[in-house]
Amino acid sequence: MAEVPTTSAAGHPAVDATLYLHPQTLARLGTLELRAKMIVEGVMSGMHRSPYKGFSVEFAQHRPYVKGDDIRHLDWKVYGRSDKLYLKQYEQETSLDLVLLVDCSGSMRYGSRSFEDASGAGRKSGPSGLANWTKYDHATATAAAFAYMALRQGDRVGLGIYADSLVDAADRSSAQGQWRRIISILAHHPVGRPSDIGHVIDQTLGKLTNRCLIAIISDFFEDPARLRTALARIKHRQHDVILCQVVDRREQTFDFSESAPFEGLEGEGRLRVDPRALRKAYLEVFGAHLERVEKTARSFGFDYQLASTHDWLGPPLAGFVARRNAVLKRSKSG
Amino acid sequence: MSFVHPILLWAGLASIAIPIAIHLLMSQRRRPVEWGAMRFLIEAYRKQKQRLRVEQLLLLLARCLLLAALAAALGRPMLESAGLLAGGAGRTVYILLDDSVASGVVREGSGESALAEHKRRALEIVSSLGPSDRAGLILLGGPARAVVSPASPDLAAVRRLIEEASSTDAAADLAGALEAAGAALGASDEERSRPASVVVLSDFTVGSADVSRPLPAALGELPGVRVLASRPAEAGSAGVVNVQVTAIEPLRPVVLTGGVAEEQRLGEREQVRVVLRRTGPGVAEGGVTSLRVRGAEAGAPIEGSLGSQASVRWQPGQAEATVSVQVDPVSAGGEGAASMILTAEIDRDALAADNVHRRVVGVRDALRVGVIARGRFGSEGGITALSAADWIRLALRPTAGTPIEVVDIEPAALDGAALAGLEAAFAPAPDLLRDEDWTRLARFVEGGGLLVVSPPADASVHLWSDGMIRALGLPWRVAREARTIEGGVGVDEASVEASGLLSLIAAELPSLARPVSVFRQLGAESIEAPGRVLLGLRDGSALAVAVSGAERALEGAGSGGSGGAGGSRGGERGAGRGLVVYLTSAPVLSWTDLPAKPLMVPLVQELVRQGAGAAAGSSSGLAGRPVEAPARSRLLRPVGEGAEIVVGDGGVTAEAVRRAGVWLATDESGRARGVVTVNADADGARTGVQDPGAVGAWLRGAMGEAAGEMAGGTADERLAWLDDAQPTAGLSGREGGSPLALPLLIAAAVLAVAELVMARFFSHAWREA
Repeated sequence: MAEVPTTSAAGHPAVDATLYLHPQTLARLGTLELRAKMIVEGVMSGMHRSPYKGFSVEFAQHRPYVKGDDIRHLDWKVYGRSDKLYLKQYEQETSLDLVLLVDCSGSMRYGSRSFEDASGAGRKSGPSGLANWTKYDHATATAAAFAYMALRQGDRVGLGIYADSLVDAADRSSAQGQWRRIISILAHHPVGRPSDIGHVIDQTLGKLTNRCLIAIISDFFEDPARLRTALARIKHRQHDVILCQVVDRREQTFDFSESAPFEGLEGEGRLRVDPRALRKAYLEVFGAHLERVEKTARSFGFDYQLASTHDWLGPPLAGFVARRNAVLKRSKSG
Repeated sequence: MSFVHPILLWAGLASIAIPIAIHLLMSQRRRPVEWGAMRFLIEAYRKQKQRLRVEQLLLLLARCLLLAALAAALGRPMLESAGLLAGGAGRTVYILLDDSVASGVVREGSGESALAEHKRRALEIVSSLGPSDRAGLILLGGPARAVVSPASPDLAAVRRLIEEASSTDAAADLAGALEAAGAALGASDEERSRPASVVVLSDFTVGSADVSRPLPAALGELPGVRVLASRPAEAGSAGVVNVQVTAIEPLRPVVLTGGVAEEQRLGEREQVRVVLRRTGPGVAEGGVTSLRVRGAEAGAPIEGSLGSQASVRWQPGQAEATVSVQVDPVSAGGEGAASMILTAEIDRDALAADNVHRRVVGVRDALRVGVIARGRFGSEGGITALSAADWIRLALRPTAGTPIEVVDIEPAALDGAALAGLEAAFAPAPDLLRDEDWTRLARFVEGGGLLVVSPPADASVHLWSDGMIRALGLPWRVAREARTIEGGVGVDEASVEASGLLSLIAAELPSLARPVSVFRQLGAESIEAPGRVLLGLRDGSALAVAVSGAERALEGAGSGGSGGAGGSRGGERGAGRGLVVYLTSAPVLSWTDLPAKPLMVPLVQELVRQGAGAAAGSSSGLAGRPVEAPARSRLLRPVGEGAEIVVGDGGVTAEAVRRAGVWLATDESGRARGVVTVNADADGARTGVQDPGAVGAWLRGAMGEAAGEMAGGTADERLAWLDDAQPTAGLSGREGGSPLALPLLIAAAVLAVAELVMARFFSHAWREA
């Protein structure tokens, strides 16, 4: 993670908006709503871009009416001037449908950094009641930021939180109350079950009729083959996907020193282990899995972002913005 | 394989449970860590599972082996299989060390005692033993004490016990020691399988080895056991002369002072007879021995009394001498009863223990004698109307200066209080006594009192005797009717025992007894042994018979034999407490003219004076035997250093007393009950040398072999004399095998290093359900 500058060249305290994207800052903020606003403002001001640029509905062309066309789209002014029936064609809708899928399986409950340490003095536990800044906390902050940003640009945003199936969902909408709804769903707590991305994707695709940008925020602790199958189905339906893989730094380093029993959060049982003995083998297995997930995502041309609970949210958000714009461009050209 | 310290081995092996318990408890120790990426950890574990399991087992094995090796090393194993390591099974050596009174004899020239020499040899033998050998120690001072038995591998402790041994005053008990060694050696198959030797370290003098009494075949069933004995001095070689004081006998066991102060009794001295004996090769030559006899109050320092001195001039070949000396008696003191300790001491010679002999003598201002009869009022009737009680009173106190106090007791008022403080009691009217009265009198007799019973003069049928016989446990059958002897019968002058109660008047008895006639008699023919006839009649019947406490006890037990536990060795031991004398004729003129004859007063006086002392029991004992304690005493405290001795219920010490000296007897409340003297066993202190061949033949009897002389006193398969230059040469078996302790310790160290390395590089991981 990049170091955050604390002072300017003039010696005045720097007001760097990226500061808001650090987990410890986010942990201080009480509500997801506030978190999302902070994140988005911070990202946008950090990138010096207007978040509202390119928002318009433009006329495209006329074409002769053929039988069966909807008469609502007839250009009556042309008919008055030329007595010919032409249909008025507009440029396709420039906004997009964003579908957020947030993993709330048991493994997302893990977090090595204590909430108190992350938030400074005061708060000892998050809204979920856990004393740690968990992967789920990180994922919901990211998802809220995505949703907030999209809604501000007029996009329709839908949300689903899932484990082995969808636990809760909000249909796509850009209405005023959508933001509140999304926030209330994200306030769910993780469940103790493992995730099943294949089943969840099937459930989600059943509800989608047009092309969407699907952002999946998860640790992807599941079989890569099943993930591949699920992504293939999304690809087949011509949706676009951002995979944001959230992991904890301790899961990446496995820097335990004393022998202790490890207990799985998804009912895997207990394993008494000397961490020094298994560290190398574990890191090999874990690294290979991350690599396989990324390769799978890339093989379909999807975006892949690896986010650590100890890192700031800038890169995933920047990646999201870039991907959104790319999707919009493709839509215009297509 | 055997172990020197099997307990350490088992304790160490039990500690193997510790790593196993840790191994099992490790899984319960820490709080579990909740882990999200469990699937990857499990996958990593699966990949490492086999390797981890092998590492765990190797680590556990190393730890267990480490503890096992340490335990085995501490247990000091010995390989008994001849092929594995040099050496064989460890040896067992029992040392029979003579610490009897004879071992205190000092060697001419070196000035070293025999015991010191025996101890030095014993230490050499024990020091030469190997780590797998075992040693036992039995001390011969009678009765033999098995100090270390069964044999112990802790040779340092055995050496320490040998060094602490000191001479006792008791005779050697080699027979008991051999039986103890034989029992220990044959106790188990393991003991039988080990090469074993019995080393007897003694001078085998006449006192310590009585070759005339065969040894028990204690080692007869142990053919593998070899006996090594220290070589006795040759008969021809110069030996020491040991003079002993074997006895000191006062004229009377109780001295009566008549209440006169000690300083005013000048010239009234007590006569004491002292018996001396010489032993050893030097008896053939003459010599002179100085003797000092002193009387001192019990507990007072004997050095404070000058006493009397005498010299004994020994003729060549003379072995025994008797000396009479006069001793000033001590005062009885305010309470009217005390004890005097007579001490006879001779010059220091080769053996000091038997140079002193002590004896307790009772001292009284006056004897208190009770007469149990009805009081008589008035004095009509003259001499013929005098009752038996009257005659007895007159005989007890013929003059005002007689140191006997007569206490009249009404039969109806007879109780414990009336009998308390009496030394003797007369019952001339036994028909007036009830059963409970006889029970009280029996208790009085058991407490050391003298009871003189005579038949009632006026009864025609004598049924009273049943209660007496039952209560006192007497071996008598008294007739129901008195026998009338026409013309009377005289007293048999020859019937008086020279050593009996009447021995002091034995010389005058013929002239005194001649005018006495007996006209009526009760039960003389029915009186049977074991009562002693003190005075007989010419027709063969008894006039006076006595039964001591010991004789009554023997009768009660229904067993034969003689002497009891203490025996009567050297004339020292009394026959037990209490004495009952029965006069078969009532001392009235209608039964006998004895009351009117000159014999009456000396007869009654001697009966009371000697009988009271005899009834009180002996207060002297021999070292090496249980000692009879004064009545109602529970503890004997030594005057000077030494351990207290508990007195058993039978009035005899629970254990043998091995040290000579003076002991104060106390009861349960700590009140003094009397004094006891214990003397060295003079018989055991005889220093005469014996022929080695005869000693060898005698020792061979312990192996169950026919007694026969060792050819020239040389060694054979089972019995050999100890080689002074090389005491361990004749021990059975070789020195024990090499200890494995060092290799095991090295193995433990290697395992410890291996454990450290494995613990560093191995790890512990396993999956739980």
